[in-house]
Amino acid sequence: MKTTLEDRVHKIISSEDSCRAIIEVRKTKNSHPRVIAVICPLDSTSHTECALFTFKSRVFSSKLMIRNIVPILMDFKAELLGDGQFEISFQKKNKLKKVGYVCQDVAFLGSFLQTLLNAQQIASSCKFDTLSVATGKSHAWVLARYSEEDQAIKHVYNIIQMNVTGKLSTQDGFSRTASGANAQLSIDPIIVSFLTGAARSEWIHRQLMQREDEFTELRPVSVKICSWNVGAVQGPVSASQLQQWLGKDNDCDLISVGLQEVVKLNTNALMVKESSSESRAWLEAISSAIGVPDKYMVLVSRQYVGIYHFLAARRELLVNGVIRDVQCKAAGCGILGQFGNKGAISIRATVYNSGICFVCSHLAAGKTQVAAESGGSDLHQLSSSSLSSNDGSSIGPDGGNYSEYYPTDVPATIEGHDIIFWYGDLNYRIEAGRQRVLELIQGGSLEELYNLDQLFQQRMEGNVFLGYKETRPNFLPTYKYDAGTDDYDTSEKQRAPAWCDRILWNCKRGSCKQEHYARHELTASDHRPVSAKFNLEVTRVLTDKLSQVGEQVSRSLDHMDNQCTPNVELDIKSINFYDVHYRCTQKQSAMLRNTGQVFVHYRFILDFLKENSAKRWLSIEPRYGLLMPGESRSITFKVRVGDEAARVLRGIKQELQETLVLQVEGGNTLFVSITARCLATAYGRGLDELVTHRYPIRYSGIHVDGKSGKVMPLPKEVWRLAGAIFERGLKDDNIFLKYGEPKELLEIRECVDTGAPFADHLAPASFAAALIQLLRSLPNPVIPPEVRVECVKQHQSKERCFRILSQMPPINLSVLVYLVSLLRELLKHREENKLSPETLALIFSAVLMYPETVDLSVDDPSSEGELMTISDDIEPRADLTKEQAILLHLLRSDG
Amino acid sequence: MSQFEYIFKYIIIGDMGVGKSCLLQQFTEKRFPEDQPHTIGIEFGTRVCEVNGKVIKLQIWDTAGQERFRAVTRSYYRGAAGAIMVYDITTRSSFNHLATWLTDARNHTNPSTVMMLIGNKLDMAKQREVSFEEADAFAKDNGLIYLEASAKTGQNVEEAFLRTARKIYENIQSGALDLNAAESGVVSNRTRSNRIKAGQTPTNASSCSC
Repeated sequence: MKTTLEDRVHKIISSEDSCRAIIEVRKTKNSHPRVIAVICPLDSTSHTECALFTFKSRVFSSKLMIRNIVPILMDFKAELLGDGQFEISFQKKNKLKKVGYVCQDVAFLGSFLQTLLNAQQIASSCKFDTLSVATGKSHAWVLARYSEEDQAIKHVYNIIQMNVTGKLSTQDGFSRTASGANAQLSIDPIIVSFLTGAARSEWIHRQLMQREDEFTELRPVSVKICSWNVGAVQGPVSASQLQQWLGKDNDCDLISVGLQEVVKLNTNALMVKESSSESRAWLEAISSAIGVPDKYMVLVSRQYVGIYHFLAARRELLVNGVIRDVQCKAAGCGILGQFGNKGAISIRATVYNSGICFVCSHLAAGKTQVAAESGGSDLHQLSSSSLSSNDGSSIGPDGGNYSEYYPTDVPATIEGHDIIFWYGDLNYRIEAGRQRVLELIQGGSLEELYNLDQLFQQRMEGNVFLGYKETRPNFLPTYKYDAGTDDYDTSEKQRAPAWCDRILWNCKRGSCKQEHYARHELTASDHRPVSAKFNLEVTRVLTDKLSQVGEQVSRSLDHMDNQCTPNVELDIKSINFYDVHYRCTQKQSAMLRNTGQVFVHYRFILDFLKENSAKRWLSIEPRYGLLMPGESRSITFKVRVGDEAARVLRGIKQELQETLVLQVEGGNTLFVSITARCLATAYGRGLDELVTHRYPIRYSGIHVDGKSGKVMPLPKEVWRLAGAIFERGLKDDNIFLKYGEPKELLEIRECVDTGAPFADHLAPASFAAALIQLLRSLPNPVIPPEVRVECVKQHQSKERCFRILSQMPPINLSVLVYLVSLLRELLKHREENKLSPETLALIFSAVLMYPETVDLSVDDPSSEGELMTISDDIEPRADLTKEQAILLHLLRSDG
Repeated sequence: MSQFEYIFKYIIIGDMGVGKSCLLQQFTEKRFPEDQPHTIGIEFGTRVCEVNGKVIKLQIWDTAGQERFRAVTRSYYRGAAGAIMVYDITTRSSFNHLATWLTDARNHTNPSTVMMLIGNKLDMAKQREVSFEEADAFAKDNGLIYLEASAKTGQNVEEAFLRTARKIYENIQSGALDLNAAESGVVSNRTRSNRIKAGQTPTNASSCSC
């Protein structure tokens, strides 16, 4: 089963694509089966771009039909619900759409879902999202290959509609004009109209990032970093000594001091995590050394077991709000990852609009840390650890309407910062024995020594501190001294000297230049302190300019939004049909053109105004449809007044004015004025009304004789037509058998309506047709339905039929009598005119009674010609209908 | 936070030739078309702007001014949060017709619709036929916000549209405008489901079947 399914799918999909997994499913247990498949292109550049295709099976064919295509993006999910049921969910039009399926082949379901899951993981790692689809950066193949699939395109359109329109319009050869405002924009204006909500702000954000130079400036900031493993010296050293290390008359904007081993690392101390008397003493000592509070203000003073981290900034910077969002977080990576004998304290701050992070760490000692498991993972663990120790809320800069588009949020991790300083006792050693190291030191070969440095080696191999920089120390190794002396370790262990204390930096945005990197000769500890000074250039957002640029970007988006509004033009604004005759079709056409940049769906609305609706006499072809950008279509407006319209329109003045509404989905609306002069006709009116008109109908508005109360015994129209047949057609062998000439019919109707005499050339058959047409156009038949029903019941008895018919309204009766006498007269000449009572009964039973067997209530659909008249829709039948029988009574009787 | 929180529907109404389409173009595109053809139907324009710190999308329906289309045009009034009535300060008759336009608008919008009166063509003040005082009095009598503006120079155009938006926003804040009402003309991001669609079939035009 599986192979055949696959074959069937491959018949449908492009040969450039392949099917990765396939399964037959149902929406519910009893619904029609569908086939869903994971499809991806074969070529290597886009084979990661999977899409989920849904196929519908055709009823009478094994051929599948693409029903739906969903690109598999980051947010795609597939979930097994058990019992063969599973659910997929994805974003559709900014909403989460969920579709549940049932699968009976549970054996295949597992592997299918696995494939789906893999596809989703790939999508995640490649960051496929609606924007990437919209901009054609991914899944362009779906559109390129399947846009012909009518059904599917509609569904694809739902999901990636932006892209669809873009592509289609390009195919159409429609060229877009990018005006100055949007020429600089990197994405297709076509797609912008669909940018709403999150996509819109993301887009504005990207645009702003591209134009960052226009609303930012670089500000110099100087930073001093000081690090010392104090080896748990009892009490801080003297202020003068500290100044030797920290600098006497500091002019740096920021000073960060990191100490390691501020407490003795015995087992008791491991559990002490927060401040201690030692840290308080250090805070005091450092503060007074650098000039707090006159010159500097302390931002952070934090202890985490052995590590102490201090950050101070020049007063002015704080007063002026240059530094914001200072946060601090400690992380342990010692024994069991919990204890703080080793670890780091990170401090982050926003300086102007750049994020700067200071990480002071004490990493594990010994050669083990060189191994990836130890030092590497410590670093990894620390650098990726979350920084959001606070509630996460941050204060954005004041003012500037567009500041929210600028990333002022505090980055979630250390690595998310623009500039990172990482320093402390990193505990990297030199790959050489003590003797060799000492020799190199004595020989002054620091360069050679540096080449043996583990940190340097590891960095060069790309194992640790990727992206970080360090200048080569041009000072001697800072470890390990006998405390209080200038001698390297003389203890039993005879440790080799090493550059344990280091300062590294990573500058991702802005610039960072190291001014000096030095060690200082404080002998209290077994480590010597180090310091470095950096001159940074950080980004400062000019809020006024940001507003300006933001406004421009937003305006250009609005501009494109408006450009992308569906828009059509019709080459005429109004249509005048002038004189419209009963049953005469008139046509006019106009060109509808899609003048916008997206495809449009248009629709003419006819019953816009309920009263006097134009829909009875006006038709539009095609009334709705799809137009590609630049595409034109000829629209035909057709006017035809049939029985119903004639009836509806008889009461109103002859001048018809209608406003036709041409609606474009999501776009503009056009009004089209329709004017027509509907010529009054007797056709379509009832016998009761016709007998009130003494003058021809066309002029009945002028002679208001309907109100005089005088009623004619017989509609003059019936009388005139019957009279013409009587005069001209008794011996005509076509009469009532042949169709009337359309032209002649029109002429006869005009004569009837205007009272003009009939011309000699008119054929008798045309008069017969005109008469039949008149009788058929009556809203109610000459023999009313209730009378017919009664007669039908009594159709075998001539007398009873006559009795029933004689009780009809006098007008109906007189018309019937008049017509029957005409027919009898015709039958007297049956040798010439070849008519039989049966034929006439057949024709007239239909015309006079509208029996149920013949549906005459609607206008004939073949309105083009006027050929229809007599027996064209009445099937001759061998056995007489009851209505026919009644007519025969009338025709054969003498009474 | 940077997505728009509301969509306001506006209509622009007034006599033919008073400059409705030009006002729209000036507001949305910052340009003045010299030979703007008469609008025969309904045109759209949108602009996203900031009102009281909120990002709001204004969706503006520009209508045909011709008398003959009045009946059809009216059906587009429904569901407007703001109605911008325009007259031409150099054409007396366009001012005289305001009463009719106002009645029309009142009858076909809801009570909370914010009405704004714009006396357009301020750039042609020398040919003025309607004084500021007279129009101001009319506006005051009828509770309209009033400004004279020029679609050509752009003077006061921005202000007119934004003032209306601020008033609508205030109405939302004060509860005078019920967002859940069927035809409030405001779509909140939270109530996206019943969003206004441009070109939506006018409400009284039921599905067409002819």
